[in-house]
Amino acid sequence: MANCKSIWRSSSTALAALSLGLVATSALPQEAEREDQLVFENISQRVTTPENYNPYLPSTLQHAGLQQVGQESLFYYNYESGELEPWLASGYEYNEAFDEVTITLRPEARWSDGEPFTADDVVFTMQMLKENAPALGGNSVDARTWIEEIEAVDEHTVRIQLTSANPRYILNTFGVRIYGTAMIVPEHIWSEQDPLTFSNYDLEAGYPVSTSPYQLTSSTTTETVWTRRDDWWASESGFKDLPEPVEVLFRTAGSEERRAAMANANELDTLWVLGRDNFEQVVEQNPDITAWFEEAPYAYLDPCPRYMAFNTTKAPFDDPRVRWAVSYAMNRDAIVDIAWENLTVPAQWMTPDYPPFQSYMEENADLFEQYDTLTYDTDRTAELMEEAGFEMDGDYWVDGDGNRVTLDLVIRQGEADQTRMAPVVSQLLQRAGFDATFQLTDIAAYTDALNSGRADAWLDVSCGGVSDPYATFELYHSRHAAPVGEVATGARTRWENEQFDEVVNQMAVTAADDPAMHDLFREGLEVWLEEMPAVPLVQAALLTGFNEHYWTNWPTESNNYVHPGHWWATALLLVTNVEKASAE
Amino acid sequence: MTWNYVGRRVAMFFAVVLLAASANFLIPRFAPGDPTAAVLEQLMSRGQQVEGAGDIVQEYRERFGLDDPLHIQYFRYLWNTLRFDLGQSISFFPQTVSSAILDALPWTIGLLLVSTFIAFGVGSLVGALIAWPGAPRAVKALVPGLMMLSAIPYYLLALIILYALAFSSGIFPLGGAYSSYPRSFDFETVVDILYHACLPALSIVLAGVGFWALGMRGAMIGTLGEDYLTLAEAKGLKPRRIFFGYAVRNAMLPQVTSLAIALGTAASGSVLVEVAFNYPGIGFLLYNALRSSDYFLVQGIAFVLVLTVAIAVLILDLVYPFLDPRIERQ
Repeated sequence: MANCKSIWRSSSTALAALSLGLVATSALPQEAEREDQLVFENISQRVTTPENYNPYLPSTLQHAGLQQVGQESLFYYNYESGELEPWLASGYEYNEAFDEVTITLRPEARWSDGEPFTADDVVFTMQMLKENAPALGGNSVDARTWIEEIEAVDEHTVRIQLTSANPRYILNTFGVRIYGTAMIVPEHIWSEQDPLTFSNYDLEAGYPVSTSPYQLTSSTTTETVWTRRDDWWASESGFKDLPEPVEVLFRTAGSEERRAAMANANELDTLWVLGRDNFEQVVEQNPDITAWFEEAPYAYLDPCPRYMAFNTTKAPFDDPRVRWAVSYAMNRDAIVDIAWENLTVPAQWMTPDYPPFQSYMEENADLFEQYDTLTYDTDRTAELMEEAGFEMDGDYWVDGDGNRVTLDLVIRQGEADQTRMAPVVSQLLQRAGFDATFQLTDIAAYTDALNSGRADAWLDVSCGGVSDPYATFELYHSRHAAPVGEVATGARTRWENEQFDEVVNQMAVTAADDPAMHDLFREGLEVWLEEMPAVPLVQAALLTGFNEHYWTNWPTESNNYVHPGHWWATALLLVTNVEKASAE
Repeated sequence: MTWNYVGRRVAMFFAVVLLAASANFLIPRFAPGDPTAAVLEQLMSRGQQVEGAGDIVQEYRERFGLDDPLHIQYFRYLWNTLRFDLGQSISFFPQTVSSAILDALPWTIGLLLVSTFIAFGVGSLVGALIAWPGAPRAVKALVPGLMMLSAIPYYLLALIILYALAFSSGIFPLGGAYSSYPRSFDFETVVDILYHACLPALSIVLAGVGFWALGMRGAMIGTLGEDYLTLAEAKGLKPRRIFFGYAVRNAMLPQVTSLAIALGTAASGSVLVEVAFNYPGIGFLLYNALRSSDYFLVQGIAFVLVLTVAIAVLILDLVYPFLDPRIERQ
């Protein structure tokens, strides 16, 4: 045994020597004390692009700090207050036709290299996106779609002429409706670069240059470190207080087990999703771990309900009766109970159960009675399948030629909730007579299955409207449909319906608070429910946690200053609000 | 050693590299999935709406030349590979494949090279002792344990070790290569890097020791019956000298061959160890490249691995005649 020890000792020394000899580091500032560090969990398994901070390349990982502390948005939509909070901008105004919007910027805003933040930066960024669409990703396509003309009226005023009326343009583009935002880049740096290849990464030169209170000081595949800049424009001008964390780190945990252990050891201050059992065990071992609610269901409601989508161009799922038959085969309570550990509720439709949607759902209770999306009734499934020309042969439905109705359900690997739902959904389908199988596929094979039309159905997240239903409706507009073999967008069901399109087109030019939205909602909903291009399953509750060991004043139900998504761009509102625990 | 022998070996080296490079090119392309679509899907799975995904995918296919006919892509790939231009990664764009590999390589070399050598050294010694008649009984009792260790795959051992020594007991960290990225190389950092390397190294060493020990034991048993050992004993040489100078030296030859190949394949063989421990090495990089269908990165890593193995085997072929005078030099 002694020999083993000595061998281990010598090998460790050799290993260290090799590591030291081979790992190069640049001169980095001294590390802050742990109590001054705010440690976020990077919800991806690694920092995929540690040397790329160009926010507009599709490959860039936004949530390893870039969008939370490495950039600021013009506005932040706060789910809790229902307000679009101005940040780099001080306000905006539409014309009466909603096809022109004027944005006012804060004159005191400055870039990290001392240059003033002006209207020219906004104009430059949006023109750069428009000119380089689609290579600069979704934001560039959005700019090409919506911007007719953009100009700087003066140093702090931007006027955008839209291609057509769009009362939600500011929210969708500059307001972090869900997850991300269009980030403004400094013209004085980017104008000399090719935006298609510029990595925006040079620690010695102070890149990425941003207006945010944090500067990137280290970036590796497992961790990024952002250090506070005490000359942040917002604190100097009195707009905001300087945030308390001296450093903000983004670290990967990789697996739920490791996440739980790191939470117990206070190695993380924010946590990605934990299952209910795991969460309760963690809280038992470390009472500093909290979530949105103190009691079950603990979790904040995600804006993206989970649903099952069909390739509606493929028989037999091109028949609405078969799609409804599948809906009736879904015991949503069982899905909530088994796959979600009772942390959520069934979804009646595709919008989240947020206050703005309450009146919409209540007004259409009669429609939902007629088209009952919550009922589990296999007898009704049988009726509809027989009506559609199928018959039972043993345990399974068969068509006129005796071929079984098969359903190949494709699931994205790495999405914990969908992975847990897949076996339950398949089992329910089997019980109702569908020869259903599910396959867990990695992200590349998943997209291939959807685009090639190989997938009959799949589970997905319905990320649409958060303050009004337009964005959810828009996902089913036929502009997203494409022939099998090509990339379909939106909900990717390839469903087309002219009447529904007309409703969506009208919604697009109707303001969110216009009473006409309610009539349009009803009209569109009726078409949608009759056709059932996708099956709503459950509301999504992501049980993410916060750790109060080093930092307090996290957002909770009783302290709801903002919604708690720490991987979203709105996380800057968390960073600027948390308080050091030791100071209490 | 004749020039004819050297020429044949060098020609074989180039043939192997060409064949393997061709396989690297073709295999990822037969797998389903488009790398750009995978990147966009990753965004959508987090709730980000991606406008015009179809346009973006097409744009990047054109940019990376993925819409050219396959034979054009193939010849371009061979030409670039000849010039050691491994191109740009798709999923980590605009990072180049070379820089992604160079970032990961030090960790892999540091971890795997040392672990493999330790496993090789300890395993070979233990294996030789097991077969040696004069060895203590305690050593012989190790055989069942070593057989079990050699049968357990790296990654399973990694998970067991991770559970026992990190998750349950908290003695070691749960993963990664450091607590916080090294900002200066002081004693504390060195200890931290070593501390993080302990478990992944332990899983590789434990899994490897059994393999090397059993291989060595077999080679030793074959050697023990040789006449030159009987002659050495008859000459009255010391047991230690007979053990190391006559028995181990000859039994080591097949072990050295295996070591050369093992070093070449170490990175690919321990992909799952790096994944299990979240260790930022080449195996972890390859795993992520495969998952996102990043053709160029997969090609680049696989090419580097193939080249390493081929070079190791070529060196071995050229050195072997010096190690073993019995080898035919024709």
